[in-house]
Amino acid sequence: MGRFRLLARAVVSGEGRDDRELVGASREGDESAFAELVRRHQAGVRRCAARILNDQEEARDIAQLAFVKAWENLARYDASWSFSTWLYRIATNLAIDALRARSSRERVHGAHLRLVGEAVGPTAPRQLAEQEVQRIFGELAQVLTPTQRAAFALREVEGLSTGEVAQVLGCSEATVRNHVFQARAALRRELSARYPEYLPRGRRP
Amino acid sequence: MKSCQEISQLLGRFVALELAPDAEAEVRAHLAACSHCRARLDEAEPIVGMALRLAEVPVASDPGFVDGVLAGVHQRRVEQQLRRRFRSWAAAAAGLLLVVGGYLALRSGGGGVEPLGSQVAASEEAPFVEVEGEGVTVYQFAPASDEAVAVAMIIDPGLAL
Ligand SMILES: [Zn+2]
Repeated sequence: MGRFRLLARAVVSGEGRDDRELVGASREGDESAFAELVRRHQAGVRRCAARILNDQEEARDIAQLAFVKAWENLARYDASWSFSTWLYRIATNLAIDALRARSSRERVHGAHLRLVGEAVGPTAPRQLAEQEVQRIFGELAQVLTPTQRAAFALREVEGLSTGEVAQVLGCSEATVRNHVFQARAALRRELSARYPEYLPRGRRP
Repeated sequence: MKSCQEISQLLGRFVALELAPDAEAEVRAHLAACSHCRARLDEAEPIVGMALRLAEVPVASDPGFVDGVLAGVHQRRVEQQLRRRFRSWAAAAAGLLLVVGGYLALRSGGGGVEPLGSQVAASEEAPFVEVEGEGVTVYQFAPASDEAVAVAMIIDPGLAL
């Protein structure tokens, strides 16, 4: 009986174990444990990269690279951090670097595209549909700095605490709040300039 | 479970990022399920409402994602092994060249040959590795100092590593 249980546990491997155990096993070279960590955390990491980069393909590459880097640096992982916060830190740094590289490329080629909002239509506030919200956010977010994008994506979209975002970005909690408020103000300005129909009636220009 | 009225009293501090993480999680969970409070939030701070909507966009399933990561891990592993092997190989080769060079230097009465040894030492940089499918690894090293000296090899990782 004991033997059966042992076998069953070996087969199930990842599931049912917490992050800490899986990290420990991964450090010993257990790839199935690491694969379980990837499965567990991929959605958040991919979403966060996608919000920063506003490009699904690039976000996928960056998210995968983040996990590979995490694997390479497991020995340096500090267990006082939550594993997901550490992953967010790796992914966010990669995404910010990619964004900076891209914007300097765009400056060089002078191809900074700026889409024009649709004509203002009906008076009732429109509800943002799922696909639409991504497209519109991507458009508005062009005015944000890479760090503002990251702070907004982590704090407001992913719902990390201010303390966790401070760990991810390597800054103080006050600075995180500043980035978030500045991002909100810039997004509000863009929304009211390009898509006033999405603003509540009392707030339209 | 808090009532809509209790939640609406917390909305101001939620928007101001002043709630403790537990209270914030409760507000977020309520907003995800209650269109009435959601409308209030949209009225108060449309951008925060937009962020919540972004959070609800489902992440498309991506069956190849985990395998892609593991392939990347394997590649890094092969790179590391190659780098270690190459380092010892380069050290041995450099030693050999120094011996040969020394011999030639002795015969010709000095000078000339020593740069060969330093070329190999200088090229001790990260080899470029490509893993294609399960089988074959192609890698090459080109020392920055001299583009004419480049080595390309095709290896079956199953044999050597
Ligand atoms: Zn409610």
